[in-house]
Parts: sequence; structure tokens; C-alpha cells
Amino acid sequence: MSLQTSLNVEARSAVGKGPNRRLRASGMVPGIFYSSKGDNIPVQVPSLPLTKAYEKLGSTQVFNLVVTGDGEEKTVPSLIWKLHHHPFKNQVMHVDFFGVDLEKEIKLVVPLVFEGVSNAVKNEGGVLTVYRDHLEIVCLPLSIPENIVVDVSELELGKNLLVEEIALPEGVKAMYDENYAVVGVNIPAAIEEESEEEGEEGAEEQEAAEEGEAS
Amino acid sequence: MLSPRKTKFRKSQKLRNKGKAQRGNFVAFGDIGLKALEPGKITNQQIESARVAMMRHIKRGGKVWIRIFPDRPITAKPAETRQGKGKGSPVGWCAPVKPGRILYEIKGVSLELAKGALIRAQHKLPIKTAIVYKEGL
Repeated sequence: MSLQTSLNVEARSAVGKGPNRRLRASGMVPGIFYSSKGDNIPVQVPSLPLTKAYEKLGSTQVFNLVVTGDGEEKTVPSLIWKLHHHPFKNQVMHVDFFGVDLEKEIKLVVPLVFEGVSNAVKNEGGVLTVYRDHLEIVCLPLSIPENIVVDVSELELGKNLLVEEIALPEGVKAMYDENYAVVGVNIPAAIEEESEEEGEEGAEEQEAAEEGEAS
Repeated sequence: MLSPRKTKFRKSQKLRNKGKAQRGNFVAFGDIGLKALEPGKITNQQIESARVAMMRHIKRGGKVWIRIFPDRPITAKPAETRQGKGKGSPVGWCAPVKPGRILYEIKGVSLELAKGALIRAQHKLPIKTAIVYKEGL
């Protein structure tokens, strides 16, 4: 999908704490490229292009990674697998690139986006509760969706939407052992209490009426 | 106010507060949060007053997470006391905070309203903080 985008990285020979700290001080980010074939190349990448690429692609879009080293240039379809940020500075500490095989399915996590407002929330006082905001999927690298849109406009009060019921794009399968709830409309405590009180009052009234009839 | 239900010892040593927050340093539950930028001790009164300031701004709806807990006792000697005669008596609780630690998180309200609430919380805290968003938001 995003194979038009490319990112240039250089292979690096110096590894370890000291060389990596010097790299970061010079505006580069140390990283590693690996794939299921067993490649394992330490790389370095300029910080700004990496940040821009991550903003555009996230960790779900495949792009062309151009690895330069030993006078050779190798282009590999990859994903930004993991980005390690500094705890409080606005700085990327390390990056993991994962080389994908375009004809082999991969397993990854994709964010969920909830769309629409259900009648239960709008008029009946329900509260939309999101239990999961990510979904684990299996698909071919080129058919990875940027995100999965979940329509919650038809959720009823006290009902949940299960992972099985989510509409997925073609070629995408959700991975799960248990059919868990993803999102639901909960009944607020105040409404529940009211309905319980009404129920109790109703029962008392009935009892009183029955006693009256018996006497 | 937050405080431990039960402790093994009444008083604790002061201890040093070095380094960066290696845990609890990203927005995990909410959409927006408040991150500590310097080390410090936040008392349970400060935690509570920042929470109240946020809740008054949000008014209704939303959920607020407090990601720190004041589990370290603070001791103090009475005024006009000579030095010596042992450690002072416990007067409160504090949470030692390292830079990078997420202090509060908010979800369920608009980002603008949540940002306003966190700015009010910032004014109640003794350390420099920054407003941060959930990754991918």
C-alpha cells in the first residue's frame, strides 16, 4: 500500500552503549533491522526523517527500507516494528525495523477507531465503554489496514460488541482465543439504582394489595 | 486523601531520588496525561488538590486515573525544638517522582477540556510537568 514511501538507513559497525550515545548526540538514531529469514543488521537513521516516516506510516504500513552498507544498496519491504522513546525528552532512542515477506501472512496489532453515536448513549443515558482499543490480526503485509473502523451506532443499552461481530476488511482475520467484548454501552449506576427502587416499590405495593384482598 | 492502609514501619529514611522513570512513563489508560519533567516529592495533599482542580473543570463525564501513590511517610519536628532527641513524628505521605513518570491520565472528555483540566492540575504541583498524548492519537 505505502510502498512508494522509502526510508534510507545506513548499516553501522559500532555497537554498544558508548558508540550509540555518540550517535544520538549527532542527531542519529541507532536501530536494528531483522526479518523472519534470519537477517540481523544494526543500522543508523537520521532522527527527523524517521520521526516523519513514523507519523505518516505508524507501525502498520509497509514501506521500502533502503539499507546502505559496504558500497551496496538493498531495498527491503519493512515495517517500523518498535520505537523506543526517551522517558521525558522528545527523542527517539532506538528503532526496530522488521523486514516482511510480501507473500507470507504476519501477525500484528492494529488500532480500532469507533464511529457513530448510538441511540442508547444519545437518549437513554448509557455510557459507551471501550474495553479494547487494539485488535490482533493476521493478514498479508500489503493488506494491513491503517486502522479498523467499528460502527457503534446500533449498540443497545447494556449490550456489548464482541470481537467476532467486528466487520474486518477483506483478507484480514482477527486472532483471539475467547470471543471477548470490544466495546459496550453500560447502564450508569444512577439509572440502575432507580430501576431497582422502582422494582422494590412495585413489589411492596403488590404485597399490600394482596393483603388488603385477603382481609 | 490517598495514604497506605497499613505499613510495616511508621517512619522511613529520606532516600535519594536519582534517575529517570523506567516504568509508568507512557500514557496507558487515557488519551491525554501529565508527565513529570523533574524529580520531586508530591504529597498526598498536592495529589488531591490537583485531582479536585481537574474534576471541577471537567464537571461531569470522563474518567481520571492517578498513576502515583503516596506511600512514603514524611516526618517533621515541632517548631522551636532543639536538634537531637530522635527523628520527628510522621506528618503526612508523599510519592517520590522521577522525571518521565505519568502522574494523571484523562479519558472520556474532549481533548480541549482535558487539556484545560491538566493545566489546572499543573498549577497545584511542585514540579515541572508536561501534557502528553497517547501514542498514535
